[in-house]
Amino acid sequence: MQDNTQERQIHRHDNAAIFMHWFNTVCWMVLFITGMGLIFDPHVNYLGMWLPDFLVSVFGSGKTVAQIHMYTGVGWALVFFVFFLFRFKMYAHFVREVMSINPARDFTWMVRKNLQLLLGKNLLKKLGLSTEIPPQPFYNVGQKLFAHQTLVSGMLLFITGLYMFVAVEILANPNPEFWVWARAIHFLIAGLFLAGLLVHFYMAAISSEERPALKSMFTGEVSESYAKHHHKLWYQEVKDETKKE
Amino acid sequence: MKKNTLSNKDRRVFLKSLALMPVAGSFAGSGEARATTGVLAKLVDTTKCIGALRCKSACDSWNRLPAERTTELTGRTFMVVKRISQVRNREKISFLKWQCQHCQNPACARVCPTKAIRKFDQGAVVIVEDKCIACGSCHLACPFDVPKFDFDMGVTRKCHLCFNRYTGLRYHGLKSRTWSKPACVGSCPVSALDFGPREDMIRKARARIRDVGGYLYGVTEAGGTDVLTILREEPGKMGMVAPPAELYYHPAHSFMSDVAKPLIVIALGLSGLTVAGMLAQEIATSLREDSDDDQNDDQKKEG
Ligand code: SF4
Ligand code: SF4
Repeated sequence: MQDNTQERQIHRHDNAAIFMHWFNTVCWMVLFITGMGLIFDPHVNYLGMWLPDFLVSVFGSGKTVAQIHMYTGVGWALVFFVFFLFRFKMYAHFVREVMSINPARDFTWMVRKNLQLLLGKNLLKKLGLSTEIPPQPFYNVGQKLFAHQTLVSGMLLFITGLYMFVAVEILANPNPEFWVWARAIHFLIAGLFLAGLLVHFYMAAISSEERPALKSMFTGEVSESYAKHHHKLWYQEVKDETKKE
Repeated sequence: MKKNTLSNKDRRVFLKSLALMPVAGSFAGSGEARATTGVLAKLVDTTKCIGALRCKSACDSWNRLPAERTTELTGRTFMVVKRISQVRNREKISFLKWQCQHCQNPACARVCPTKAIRKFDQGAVVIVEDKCIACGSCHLACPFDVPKFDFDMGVTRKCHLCFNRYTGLRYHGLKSRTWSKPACVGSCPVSALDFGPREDMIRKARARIRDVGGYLYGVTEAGGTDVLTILREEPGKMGMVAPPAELYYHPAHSFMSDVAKPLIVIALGLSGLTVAGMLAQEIATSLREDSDDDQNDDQKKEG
């Protein structure tokens, strides 16, 4: 992988996908920070009271923080839906890829990859365990699981968030009974999603093995050797297609 | 249920953070007024009340409310006078002046997502209306079912213990230092209402109860309130639903603190451990690559 620059590059991400990825990153960071800034109950806010206290001292009132949160959320959803309509193919491809599950292959991958990440190849060899990892398609199993969580969380956050927004900003007389449950579910899903994001963030931004993947989130391309090593099935697919042409 | 009650320490932290809140909007002006007399409480004596409704008129005019004829609280009716009768003796009617009880540990303030509700050092629990987004969380949290929407203004409103008559702070552009008592208190023709330091009010009420009998509502109800009411008998015997001494929370609120928060903390812990493990492995690997021949070091890392 040293000779990245000379090696043949394979197209992996469209510009649209790259834009959406970074757009999500920024929006979700704003949403997460302002969201946790709206939990004023010390028994519920798992990050402690410094964040809400800080945001209130910056913005003057919790209402401003709430409005930033709500309008960022609605803005994100709007952009997302515009992309969804105009780039339907991209999303269809994404959903098809993350839904392609092969239990036997995926289970072996999960066990072996995690052992390798936590124990290291050398130790595995010493213990006499295999370091072979089953070949993977466009997304590996870890990525797929995170994608599933993203899809489900995204939908639930969108539904509960939109309800809360419409209820307080447009109708102005919500059914408080629904509202408090919507808020409770919104809170739970967002917190669990954060736990998933933590792993995603480590893999993408810190792990050296995945450095090419991070680069591809800017350039849209990965080197041939990376593709072969990490996503062999996808690599073969791409090769077959280019041969046909 | 224990978890749902703020401990004294938590409560101090909570009140401290409320005190840090900048005074804005309706409160524009004079800044913090320090309590000189400690917590002030209102005493309502139903053994004296004759149902003259002067308090209601005084409340409506001081707060410029439309004087609705109702016995249920609304967003534009901050207090009502209800007829209650003893369960044992239906003939024996008493009048109950009813409004926000100004809890010492207000559940409404704890659940508000915009921190629009504030407990003053002097006792009043006040909704800062321009911070309210009308979500209704406080309606469900209140053990007395007090907060209600004012649909015209699109916010939740309730009794504020006329804090703008004695703290020098403004409410809807209105403030005064000439008064030392809520509007209702001075208007009562039979002196069934009183206002002053909570300890004094409790002492007075106990003296009254020694004379005529009865029950002092608000000492322990919902963890103690700064509105005290002398009832002829215990709340149950007056056909009132007594709120628990420990704070009750709507299941959605308990769900957030007792289910969602622990689940999230566990999930964050697991993913944090995973990340830490991978990071340790990554560092070990890179160190090994740096000093491939240093066997001792290598073994230590793996051990
Ligand atoms: S209705 Fe207003 S005061 Fe009550 S919890 Fe919601 S934002 Fe806070
Ligand atoms: S009676 Fe209800 S509205 Fe009044 S302070 Fe207590 S919880 Fe809040």
